[in-house]
Amino acid sequence: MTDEQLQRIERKLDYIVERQRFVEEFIDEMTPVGREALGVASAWLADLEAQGFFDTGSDAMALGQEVLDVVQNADKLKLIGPMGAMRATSEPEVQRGLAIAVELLRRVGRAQIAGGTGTPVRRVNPSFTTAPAGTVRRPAPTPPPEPACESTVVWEGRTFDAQGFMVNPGEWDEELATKMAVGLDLELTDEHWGVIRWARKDFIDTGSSPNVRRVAIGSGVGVQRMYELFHTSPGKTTALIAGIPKPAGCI
Amino acid sequence: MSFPFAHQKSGGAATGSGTRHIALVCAKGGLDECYPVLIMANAARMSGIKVSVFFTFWGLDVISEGHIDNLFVNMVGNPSSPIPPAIAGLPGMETIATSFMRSKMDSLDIPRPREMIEMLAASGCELYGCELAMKMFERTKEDLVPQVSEVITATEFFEKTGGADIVFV
Repeated sequence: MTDEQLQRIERKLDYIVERQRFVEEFIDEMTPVGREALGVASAWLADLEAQGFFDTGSDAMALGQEVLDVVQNADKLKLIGPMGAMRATSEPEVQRGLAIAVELLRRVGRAQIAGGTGTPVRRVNPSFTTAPAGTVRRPAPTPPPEPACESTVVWEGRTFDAQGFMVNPGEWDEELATKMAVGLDLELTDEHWGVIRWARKDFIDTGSSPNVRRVAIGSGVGVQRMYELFHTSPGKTTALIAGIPKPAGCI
Repeated sequence: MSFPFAHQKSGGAATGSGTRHIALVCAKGGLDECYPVLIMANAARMSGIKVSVFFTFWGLDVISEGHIDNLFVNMVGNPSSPIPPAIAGLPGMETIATSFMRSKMDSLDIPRPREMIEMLAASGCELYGCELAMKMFERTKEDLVPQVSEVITATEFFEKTGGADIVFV
């Protein structure tokens, strides 16, 4: 490098050092002044607060002040990327702030939904003054019609429902069972009676009608014999004749 | 007046009187996959409907001795599975899932597949094995449970179930 260039660099360096010295001197001088001013200001504000100047709406004012503060100094804030976001959400203050923001959103959303008829109206563009074609406010659905009462049949002094099961199992007796079997083209042998009595006893003991498998195993006849004794739908037929409700379930 | 609910007239053979006939095809051998067929067949029989069941492909496991008691549940590739596929595929998960399912079935008093097949046969269901699948898996009639009626081809199955509602599970 030539002499000239070196001298130019040296001059620039001198200038920088000089400016730095000025800054340091300024800071040294202003520090005690600043501290005092801050002390006086805060003492004065504390005084005012003690006198109750900031009580009215102080919370809202403080919050508003915070918001203003942040917004005004937004460019001084350090940028946050994904890692920074993770770190920030671990701070309890940030978590509190997030909880407040989410609750605000929730209430706004709820109010917006409640403002309609219960179904959210999709606003395509909020600048439309009339709702765009296609967004129809659906009326509240009409409740389904009440089912009509099931027709009951009275036979031999007892009531039966539409499928033939006794409405009141307590009204059963063996004579009735025999009559029912005749109507179903069944001749009741001792084996039949064993099954029918077992099924009725089980209903009384457990409170629910046994299914085919339970009757077959419980009465000891076996599933195959059940189908032989009662032909089609032995579970249902047994319940019919025994005067107990229809068995529920798939097995 | 005789019993007014004589629509329950019994008088047909154990295979069920009336014209309704359902044909079920079981092509899967998982514990969770075979139950729909077995339960629907049983429910149909309980309602007096004639039922024919055709076991083909992996469904042969459901009627084969040596397999019928060892059906497994596999959660991998099942989009309804609560276990994510990466975990469901780990060694031992199949056994765990199967034991969960078995204990759940037992608590609901749902019979194991073998007892279901016995019930179906006892109630008059026709159970068939698929001849082609038997050749593929190199099994013979002796390898099947005794409740199976016969081993037939798909064509013969359709002949037997003319007019039936066919349900593929």
